[in-house]
Amino acid sequence: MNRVCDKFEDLIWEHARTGDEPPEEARRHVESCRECSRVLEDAKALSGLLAEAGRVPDAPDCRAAVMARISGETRRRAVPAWAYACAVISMAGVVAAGIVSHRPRTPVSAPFAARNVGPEPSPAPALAKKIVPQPQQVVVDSTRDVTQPTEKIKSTSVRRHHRPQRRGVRPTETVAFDGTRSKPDVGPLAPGPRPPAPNTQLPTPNPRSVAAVYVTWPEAGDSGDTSYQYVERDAQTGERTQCSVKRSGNKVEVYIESTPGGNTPPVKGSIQNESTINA
Amino acid sequence: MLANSDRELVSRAQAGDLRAFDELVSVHQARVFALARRILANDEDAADVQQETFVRAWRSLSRFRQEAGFATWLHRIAVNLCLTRKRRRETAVKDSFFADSLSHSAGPTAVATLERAELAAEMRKVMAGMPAHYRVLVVLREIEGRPFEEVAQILGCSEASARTRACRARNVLRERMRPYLSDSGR
Repeated sequence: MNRVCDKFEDLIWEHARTGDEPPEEARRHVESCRECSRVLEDAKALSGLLAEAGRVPDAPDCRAAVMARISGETRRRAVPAWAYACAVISMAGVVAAGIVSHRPRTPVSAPFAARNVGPEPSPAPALAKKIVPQPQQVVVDSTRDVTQPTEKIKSTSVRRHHRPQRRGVRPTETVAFDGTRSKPDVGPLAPGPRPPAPNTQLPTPNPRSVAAVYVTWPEAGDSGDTSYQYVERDAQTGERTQCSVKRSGNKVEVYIESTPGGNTPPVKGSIQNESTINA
Repeated sequence: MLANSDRELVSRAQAGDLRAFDELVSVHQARVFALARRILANDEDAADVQQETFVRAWRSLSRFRQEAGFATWLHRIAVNLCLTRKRRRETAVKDSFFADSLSHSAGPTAVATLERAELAAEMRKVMAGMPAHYRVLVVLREIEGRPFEEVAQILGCSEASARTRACRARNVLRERMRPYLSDSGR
């Protein structure tokens, strides 16, 4: 069949099936085209047979079976999985916040500290008996000030994959290597700030504080290199904190990057420390 | 476009109303079975596809957009299930309804009826031997008389593609039925 015939082919079959009169153009073409005339004859014969072949028995009633199947599926999916996940995360955040908020705030020593320290130096805190960090040269490479997390020595053994306890906790003080302590500027969860004295030149305010980091130190005499990393996200504030701690011999490197939620730019800081570990 | 009654029932079913969906099943189950029966030529398979079509429809109901017809959407599910089933099992045509069609026929003489019935049986055999996608086109267009727009929606292709495929399917049907058309004394 040529392209002209293709144009009328469907009309021919439709006419054969329904008996409806084709358009005048198609009728004239069929009368003048031998091939299309044969198609029309075949279509009339086959349409009747197709109608016969297409007879089907009465349909069964499948409602009961269908409803039984989907009812079972509907019951199993009554609570979507994401709802469970959100509930678990929320509960974990609430419990952790409750635990942390009741922790005794004991002074701790920190192997690293913020670059900016407050105007209130305090005596050096007690250190873990096996570790006596020496005053060190602190180098902070950051685009913004970083309020260092409170560091607490929990034990003398390094645990890999250790997840510090931070659930929206803001440290209330920082400790420098030289033992100076200062209170950071307030963050959303910190105690309220003291009103400044009039005409007082305030130090550069610290940005949002990074949550507490708990670092454990290796056993005395353990010279193996250790490192761990973690990433945490505060479910309430959306703050994302990435921290990597690497100890190589007597050298400790800590890198912290905190990305607050929303449109606040990230806060980064890294500290290198060399400390002498006394056995 | 969606019929008003279908639109309301679908909206309620999408909101989780099982009774609304039950009513949709009641309205559409006969056509779904007929479509599956014509493609698969087997009562049992057609009943399975009929049930599975509505179960799949329930699972996917949230993704159904009411611009297209609900029946068309259902039939698309049914056709896909039929094609999947045919690909898995190459079943011979079972003329279980052959006797039924004889008992329902009336008018022509017994001889003519028998000849007609035999031809219809041969037609079913020829259709069973056709490639599945051609068979579906013959059922949708030549037996059920659906417009090409609907055929294209069910097959998930363009209307032009549906027309082209239908043309090829008819040519295959004509060629395979050629001996019987000659014998039928046209």
